[in-house]
Amino acid sequence: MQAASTVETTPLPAARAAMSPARDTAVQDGAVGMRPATGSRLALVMAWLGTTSVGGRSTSYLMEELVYRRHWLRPEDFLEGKTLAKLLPGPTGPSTMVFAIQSLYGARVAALCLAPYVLPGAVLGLVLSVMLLNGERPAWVNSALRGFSCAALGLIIANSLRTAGSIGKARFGPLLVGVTIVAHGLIGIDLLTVFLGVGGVSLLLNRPRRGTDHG
Amino acid sequence: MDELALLLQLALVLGRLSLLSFGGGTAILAEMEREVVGRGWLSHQQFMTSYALGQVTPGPGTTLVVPIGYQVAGVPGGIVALLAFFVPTAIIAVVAAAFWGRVRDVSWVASARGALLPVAVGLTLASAVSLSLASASEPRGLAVTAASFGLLYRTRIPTFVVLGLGGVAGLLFLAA
Repeated sequence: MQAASTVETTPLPAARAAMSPARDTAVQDGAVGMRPATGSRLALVMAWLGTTSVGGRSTSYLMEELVYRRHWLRPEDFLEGKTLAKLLPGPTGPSTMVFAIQSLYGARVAALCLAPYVLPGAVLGLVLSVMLLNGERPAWVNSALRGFSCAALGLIIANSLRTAGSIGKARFGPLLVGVTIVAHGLIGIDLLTVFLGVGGVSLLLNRPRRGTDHG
Repeated sequence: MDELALLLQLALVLGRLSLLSFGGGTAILAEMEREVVGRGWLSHQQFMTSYALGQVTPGPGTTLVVPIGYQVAGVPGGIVALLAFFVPTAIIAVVAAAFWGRVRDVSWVASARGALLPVAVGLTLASAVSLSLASASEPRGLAVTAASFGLLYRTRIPTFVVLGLGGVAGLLFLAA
């Protein structure tokens, strides 16, 4: 990480800067809005993040590295990408990474950076699986894995409660959350039905109102 | 079932789950558990162990699909699970990122962003409820869960440390 922290930077392209006046200002003051000199340097940083971001909150590591340590992105740009990533299907971390890198180097480099970001953890996961989950295990390994699983459930509950504060300003938001919990968590209605049903109702309730929304 | 058919089924199940995981990977944990346990591929305990492994390995937490795939169909299963879960949605993200600048201020897009948030939050909480109910049979295990939750929710102790402490607690208190 020490070596990467001295990465050289170049200003954003003029076209990108012209799209965003605020970023243009940032480029001028040299504080934010710089980007890594090469796409391969960027891929190396992603590989480093993919190797070190332990704990499952990979977007927090991304934000720390891209926004606060390297100043390649402004916080609001990163958070917009993260919000959009949550609207798209799939894991949030890789999608957020795609939006962040796309704004720096375009979609092609963003796609190429996915592999160094995801593969280190996946390979380690496979190695650990072969070592720990293969056939008969010593009793102490089983005990440790059970404790591990119980702690993981604590993590799921903690992360879930943290998301409860992000309902936003949607109309009937708490009610929609409650219906979703009962339908999917307690009754066991399948995900697609709940998503289409409750999501459809929410879209209807929160559709743009003529005269009050811009568009 | 021959191995190829099993791998295909695994790819279809995880690919479908990935395409339905709005709001982040945690939102589909309950559905993923239902799918893999309901099909007899894993036990609830094996599923939770896979989740824990996904949390201690670096990168996205949803790499839990690798240990799941491995337990279903060995190393090829782990690889197929990874590809099925990440590739389709990565393509969607790349395409969406390329077009985002053109649609970001369209009113219905902004409305959809707000409208789908409660559903995503609800699905995430539903996963916690469902998995808690499935685990609520063993008092000592619940005590480890409660302690981990308290540490993670109230302190800034790193996740992997708390999971490691869970492993130690398992050795001390949850002997098989």
